[in-house]
Amino acid sequence: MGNVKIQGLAAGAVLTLGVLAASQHAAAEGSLALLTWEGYSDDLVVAPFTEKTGCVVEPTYVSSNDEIIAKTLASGSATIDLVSPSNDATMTLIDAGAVEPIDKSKLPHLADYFPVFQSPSWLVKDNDLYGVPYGYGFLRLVLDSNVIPDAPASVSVLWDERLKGKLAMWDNLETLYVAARYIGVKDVYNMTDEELQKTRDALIALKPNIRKFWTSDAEFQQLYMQKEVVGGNTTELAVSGLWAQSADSLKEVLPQEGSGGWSDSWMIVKGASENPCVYAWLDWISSPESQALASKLTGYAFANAKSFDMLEPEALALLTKLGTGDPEVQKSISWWQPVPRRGAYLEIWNQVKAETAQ
Amino acid sequence: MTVQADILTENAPDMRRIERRRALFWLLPPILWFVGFMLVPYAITLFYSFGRMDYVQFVAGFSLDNYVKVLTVQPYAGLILRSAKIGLLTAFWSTLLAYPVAIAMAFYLSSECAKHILYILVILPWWASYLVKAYAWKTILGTHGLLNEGLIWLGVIDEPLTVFLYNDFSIILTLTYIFTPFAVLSIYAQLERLPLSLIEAARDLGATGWETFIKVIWPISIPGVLAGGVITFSLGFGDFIAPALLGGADSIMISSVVISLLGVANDRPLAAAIGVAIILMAMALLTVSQYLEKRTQVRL
Amino acid sequence: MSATISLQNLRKTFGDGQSGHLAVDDVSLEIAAGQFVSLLGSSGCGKTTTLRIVAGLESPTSGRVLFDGADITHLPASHRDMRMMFQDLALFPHMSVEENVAFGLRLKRMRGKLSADEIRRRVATYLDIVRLGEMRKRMPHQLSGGQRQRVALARALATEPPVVLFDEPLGALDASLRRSTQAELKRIHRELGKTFIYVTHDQDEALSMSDMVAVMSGGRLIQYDTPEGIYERPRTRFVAQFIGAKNLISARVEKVTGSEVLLRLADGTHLGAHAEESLVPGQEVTAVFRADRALMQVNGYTDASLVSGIHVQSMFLGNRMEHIVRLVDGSEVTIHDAQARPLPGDGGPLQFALRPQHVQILTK
Repeated sequence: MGNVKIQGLAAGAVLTLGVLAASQHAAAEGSLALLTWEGYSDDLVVAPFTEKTGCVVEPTYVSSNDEIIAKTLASGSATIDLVSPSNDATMTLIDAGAVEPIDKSKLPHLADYFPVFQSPSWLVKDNDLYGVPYGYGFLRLVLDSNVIPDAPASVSVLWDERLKGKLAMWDNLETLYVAARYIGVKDVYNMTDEELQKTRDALIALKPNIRKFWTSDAEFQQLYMQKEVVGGNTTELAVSGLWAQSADSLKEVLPQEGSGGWSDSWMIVKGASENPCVYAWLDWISSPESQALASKLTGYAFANAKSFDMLEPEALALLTKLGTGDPEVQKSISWWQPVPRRGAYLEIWNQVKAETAQ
Repeated sequence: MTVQADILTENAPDMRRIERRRALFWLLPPILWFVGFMLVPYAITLFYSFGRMDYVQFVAGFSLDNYVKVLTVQPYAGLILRSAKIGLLTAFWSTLLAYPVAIAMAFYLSSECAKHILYILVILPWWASYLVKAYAWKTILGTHGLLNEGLIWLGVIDEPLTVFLYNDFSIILTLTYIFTPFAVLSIYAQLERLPLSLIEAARDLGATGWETFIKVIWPISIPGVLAGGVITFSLGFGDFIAPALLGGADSIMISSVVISLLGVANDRPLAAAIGVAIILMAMALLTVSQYLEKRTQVRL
Repeated sequence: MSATISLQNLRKTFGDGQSGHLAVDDVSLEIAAGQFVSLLGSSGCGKTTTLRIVAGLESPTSGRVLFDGADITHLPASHRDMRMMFQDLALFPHMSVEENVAFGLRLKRMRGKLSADEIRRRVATYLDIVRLGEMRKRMPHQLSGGQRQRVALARALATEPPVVLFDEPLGALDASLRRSTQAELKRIHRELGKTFIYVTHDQDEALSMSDMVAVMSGGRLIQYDTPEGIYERPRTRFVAQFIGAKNLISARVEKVTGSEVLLRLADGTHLGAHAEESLVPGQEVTAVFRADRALMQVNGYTDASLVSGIHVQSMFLGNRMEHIVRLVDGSEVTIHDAQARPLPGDGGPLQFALRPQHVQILTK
C-alpha cells in the first residue's frame, strides 16, 4: 500500500523508534522474521499458517518503503527473512542485490494468479521473478455527479472551472503522475526535465481547484461527507467507504489516460531462503484461502484470481463494480515503477504545493 | 590530640575525593543528556548535510551542494521564509492574546483561588492531544461547521463560507490557540516578579491606569513578551501537523518538506542541510532575543 | 504648603462578613497642617492600613477621610495631593534616579503646568535636598540601601505635595544609617513644612521625630499625644509596655484631688500619682513609673512619696546602675541610678522616692 502509510506522520516517527528497538533478533529454525505493513501479518492470516507449519511469525512493522529498503540494505537476512515492498520500490532492492529470485516450482499457486501478476515488470530482472505479488489496488478518480453531470472519461475534468476550490487531491507523487498523464507524458516514471516543468505548470493550473491535499483514506471520506470537496483522486477503500455511507451521487471517472496502480510483493531477503519457513510462508500467502482472509481483513484485492471466488458476495460485488478483478482493466493500469529521479519529482511536487493558488 | 589531628589530615584527601565523586554524580546526568540528545544528534545532522545520496545509499563527503540548493532552488528558501512568517504571526497573536490574561493573573485576581482557576484554565487544553484540538477547529471552521451554522442562524450569511478552513488563517488560528498558553506562562512569570507596590507607586504619583501600564508595567514585562514570542515563534515555525490537517492547497511549511525528503525522496543530506539552516537561524534568533532580553531585563 | 488631614470613624474589614478580619476599628484622628505625626504600633495593629486608606490605596469599609476639610474618601490615589514613600521604596527599576524623581512631574496631570526646564530644575533641587545630585544617572540597583531611600524620598517630594506619607521606609536600614536618616527626615520636614504621616513600629523613631504620636493596637487608636505625653503619661498598660515602661504597681485609690490622686499600696504606704480621668476612692488601679524617674536620694523632697522593697540584684550598665527591687506584694520593679553608685550587698531593704507627676495611673 506504499506511501499511503507514511501519512501518520508523528506516529510514524514513534513507530520507527520502536522498530529500531525491536529489530535485533536472529532468524532461528522455525521462526520467520517479516518486515511488513501492519495489516499483512494479522493473526487472522498468521494463525492458520503457524498451526499448519509450526513456524512462528515475528513481524516488524514499517511505515514506508524507504524504511524497508534502508533496513533490508542495512541488516540483510541476519534479522529479516521476508519483506513486502510496493511496486515503486521493488526494483531498488533487486538492483541492489538485496533479494533472491523466487523458485516458482515451489509455489504452485502462482499458476492461478491474474495474468498481469504472472511476471510483472517491477519484479522481473534477467528473466528471474523476484517477488510474489500480494495485495494491490488502483487509484480512483471520483466526482459528485450532481456537480459535474457530464464528466468526460478523462483526467482533464479535474481542470474544469466548476470545480474551483472543490477538489481533494492525494498529497503524493501519484497526483504528479495524474498531471503528467494529462499532458500526455509517455513514461510518467522517467520524465525529462522539460516534461517535469510542463507537469508542474499543469499542476499549478490545477491548484485553484484544490481545496485540500489529503493524506489518508479516512480524511478523503471526511472531506467529501462534510461537503468540503466534491471529489478528487483517491483509493478504492475511500470510494467503497463513501458508497457504504450512501454517497450515491459519487461516481467514478474512468480516465482514458489511465490510472496509477499499486501492488505489494513478498520478497526473500538474500540468504533467507535457507530458512524452511520462508517458502512455507510464500506458499501460504499465495494460496486463495489466505488471500481471501487477507482481503476480508484489509479490504484490498489480492493477486490470486481464485481468491475472488472465496470472497463474501458483498465484497465480490464491490470489487466487481470497481473493476478491480477485471484482467482487461488490470492491463490498462499504469502500474507504479521505481522513479530514478525521485528527488527531482519531490522537488517539483513541493514547489507546486508552495505555489500560491491564483 | 595528635592522634586526632593525624586522622583528620589523613582523611582530608578522601573527603575531597568523595566531594568530587559526589559532584560527578550530579553533573553526569545533565552532561550525558546534553551529549546524547543535543551534541550527537546535531553532529550527525551536520555530518549528513555535507554528504550525498548514491541511489539509496548515503555517501559521506564534504560538499556544500545541499546548502547551495537550500538557498537557491525553490521551494526550500521560500518555504523557510513562509514558515517564518507563519511563526511570526503565531507569535504575534499568541502574545497579544496572552498579555491580558497574564496581566489579569498577575495583578487583577487578588484571590489565590481565582488565580488558580485561571491558571488551570490556561493549562487545561494541554491535557488534550494536539490532534484532537486541531480536529476540533476543523469541526468549528468547516463549511458546515459551528461557525458557518451559527452565522447562518444569525442571518449574517445565507450560504456557508469556505474561507475559514483550509488556508493560512485556519493554520495560524489553530497554532495561536494551541501555543498561547506558552506565551501566557512566560509573560506571567515576568509580571509575577513585578512588585505590586510599583503599580501603587505609579498611581500614587498621579499616573492614570494607561500611564501606569505604558511607563511601568509594559517596559518591565518586555523580557517575558520576548521569551513568549520566541517560544511561540519556534513552535509555529516548526509545525507540520496544523498545515497537514487544516492547511489548504498552498499551506505547506518547511517541516513538511523535511519529512517528505526523508520519507518520499530518501534524500537525507538535503533534509539535514535544511535542518542545519534552521538550527543556524534559530541560534541567530535566540542570540538577538537574548541580547534584547538582557537589555530590557530589570533587576528588581 | 501643607494641609490638615482628618480621619473620621475609619473602619476597614478585609474579607467578607463574619469571617472578615477587622484591620482598622473606628479610628478618628486630627492631623494639623505641617505636623509630623507617627502611627506607632506592632505589626498587624492597623497602622499601615490606616495610612493606605489616607493614600487612597485602600478604601475604608466605613468612615471618612478629609483633606483640608474636603471629603476625599472616594477620590482615587492618583488624584490625591499626597505622595507616599513605600516600605519597599518601589523605585522603578527600569528608570534612572533622575527619571524616577521626574516620574510624577512628567505625567498627564502635570502637563502644561511644568516646562521641561522646570522639571529638570525641580529634579535637581530635590536631588540636592536628599544629597544625591551626583547619582542622578545611576540605576536603582547601582545604589546602596540608604541612597535608594533618598531617591524614594526625593520622588515623593518632587511633585511638592502638601502631605507626605511614609510606610516604615527605614525598616531595612542598619541602626546607624537609620539614625542619620531620621535626622535628615526631621530636617527636611522642618525645611519644607509639609504634613508628614509616618508609620513605624519603632517607638524611639516615633518619639524622636514626631510632633504627635498615635499608638495603635488591634486596629484601634489607643492614645494620641505628643511624644512627651506618650512617654510620661501612658494612658493604658499597652502603651506603657510598648514604650518600655515596665514598672507596674497595683494600688487602691485613697483620695482624689483634681488630677492629683493619693494611692495606698499593699504595704499600707501612700503614693502620690497623676490621673487623666476621674477616679473614685476605693477603686483598684495600676500605676506606672519609669525606671529613670525613681529617686535614689530619698531625703529632702516635700512632694515625693517613699516606696520600700527588698533589693534583688544590680547591674552596672556603664552610664547608670540598674537595680531590681521586690515590693511587698511580690511584684518586681526596675529603677535606674544615674550616678551608678553600688549598693551594699544583695537582699537588704531598699527605699526610693517618686514624684506624683511621674506616677501615671493606667485606665486599662
